[in-house]
Amino acid sequence: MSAHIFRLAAFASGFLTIAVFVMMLVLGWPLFTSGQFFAILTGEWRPSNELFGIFPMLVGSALVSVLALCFSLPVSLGTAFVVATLAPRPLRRAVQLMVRFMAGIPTVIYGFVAIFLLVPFMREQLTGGSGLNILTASLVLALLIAPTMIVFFVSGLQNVEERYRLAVDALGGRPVQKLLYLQLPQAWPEITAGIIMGLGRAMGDTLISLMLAGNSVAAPQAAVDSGRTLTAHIALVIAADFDGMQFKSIFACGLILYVFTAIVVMLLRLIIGRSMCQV
Amino acid sequence: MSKEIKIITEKLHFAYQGRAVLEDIDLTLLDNSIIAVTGPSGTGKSTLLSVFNRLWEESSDGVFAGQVLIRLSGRLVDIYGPELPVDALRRKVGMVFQIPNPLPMTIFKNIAFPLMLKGLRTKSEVAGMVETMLTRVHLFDEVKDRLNHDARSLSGGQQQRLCIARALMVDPEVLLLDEPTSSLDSKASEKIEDLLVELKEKCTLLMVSHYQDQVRRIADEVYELADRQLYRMS
Repeated sequence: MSAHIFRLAAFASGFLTIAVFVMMLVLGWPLFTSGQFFAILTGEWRPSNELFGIFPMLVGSALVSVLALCFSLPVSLGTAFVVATLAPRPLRRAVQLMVRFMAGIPTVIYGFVAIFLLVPFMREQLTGGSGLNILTASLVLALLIAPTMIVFFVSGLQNVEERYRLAVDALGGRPVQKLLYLQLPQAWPEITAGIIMGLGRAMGDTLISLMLAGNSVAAPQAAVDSGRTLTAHIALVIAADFDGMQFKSIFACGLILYVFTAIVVMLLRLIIGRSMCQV
Repeated sequence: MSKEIKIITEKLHFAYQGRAVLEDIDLTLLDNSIIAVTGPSGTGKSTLLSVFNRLWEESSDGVFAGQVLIRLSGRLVDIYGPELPVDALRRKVGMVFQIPNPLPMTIFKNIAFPLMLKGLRTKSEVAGMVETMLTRVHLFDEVKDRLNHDARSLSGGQQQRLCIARALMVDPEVLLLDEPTSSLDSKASEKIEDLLVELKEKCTLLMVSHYQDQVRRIADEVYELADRQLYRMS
């Protein structure tokens, strides 16, 4: 009986995933049939001129997520090194607890705190303007994706078999040498998976970029420019329109995000699958 | 030529998770000899070995008391004292485990690994030393055409000789061997035994073994560990 319930649950979740894709495809179909899909992908967003391009949002999403990854990666790797090997056990536990706690904080809290602490700092000390820009959003997103990456990195570093670690200890290897020469090369599949997962999380997050990136519809030329991401664009358009061409254009955004997420998941499966085969 | 004292333990005591494993062990071992420790399973023989390179500190909630002195570079040193860092100790007191544990890398890199830990990276120098060491453990002819293969692809006996070669790479003065032939067939065991007898010319070997025949064949001194005490056998 319970097996049937589980099977039904698995079928339902698979069905829903496909249904979401089909729904976006059906609702965005007028874009394809009217030949506007590629114009939307590459064009500007000027609804008053009947231009519904999402190219600036594509650039915004790419910039925010790649910058967030660049900021977060060294910090996450360093934290993972401390948690996995370098720190004394009580400190490891304390840092691990803090990382888990960070993962549980609602996104809106990060955004809220950033508006009061980071935005004024950026405005007065670094970027000028309103302080709401790609750089501000990516700094907070870096913080947001760090716990996800740290969990993957730590798991990879700690999964190195005990007998290998003891072998290095017995040869007089210092903790940092053990980390660099044994654990890091062994943990690369999990590290890659963590990076992809972090990038996916940064790309998919809505609230931080909505609150902090400035939401300008012009394509950002630099990190200190205001910008709008695909996810923020969907949220903003859906709040203002429900039937027009503007509304239909957000299905192009949805499809792109869906395909990107699917690629991330497939890459993860490929990497983790390969590492399992190597064990 | 008379042999020098290599290892002295005084009132050695070790407890693991609140349970005493070793109690008041006073021991004096001579250099250039093979010292075998036998005894029933679970009596703490492996723990005793791990006391001499402080490896127990890496994995267990052990409590150590007493004193362990080892003659290193001609001088008796308290290995739990502040003057000897633990990584320096472990380069002088090598260890070979019961189950061969080549690192997940090539044969060449396994042997060169201890040199990398010491910071020696000149490729030609390392290559020469790797070949010399593999020859010393009688493995070079068997693996010379596949030095870039994964070390885990070797047979059990070859893996154990590789691990011995790796441990010898930094010229240890003491070699700890935790049942080094227990996972090997008789032919492979024989090769390891011959190698150990050769090695005692260069260092002191402290070996845990279950095999009485083996102990009789190669050991100079035999101790039995029972009831947390170490007894010298005739």
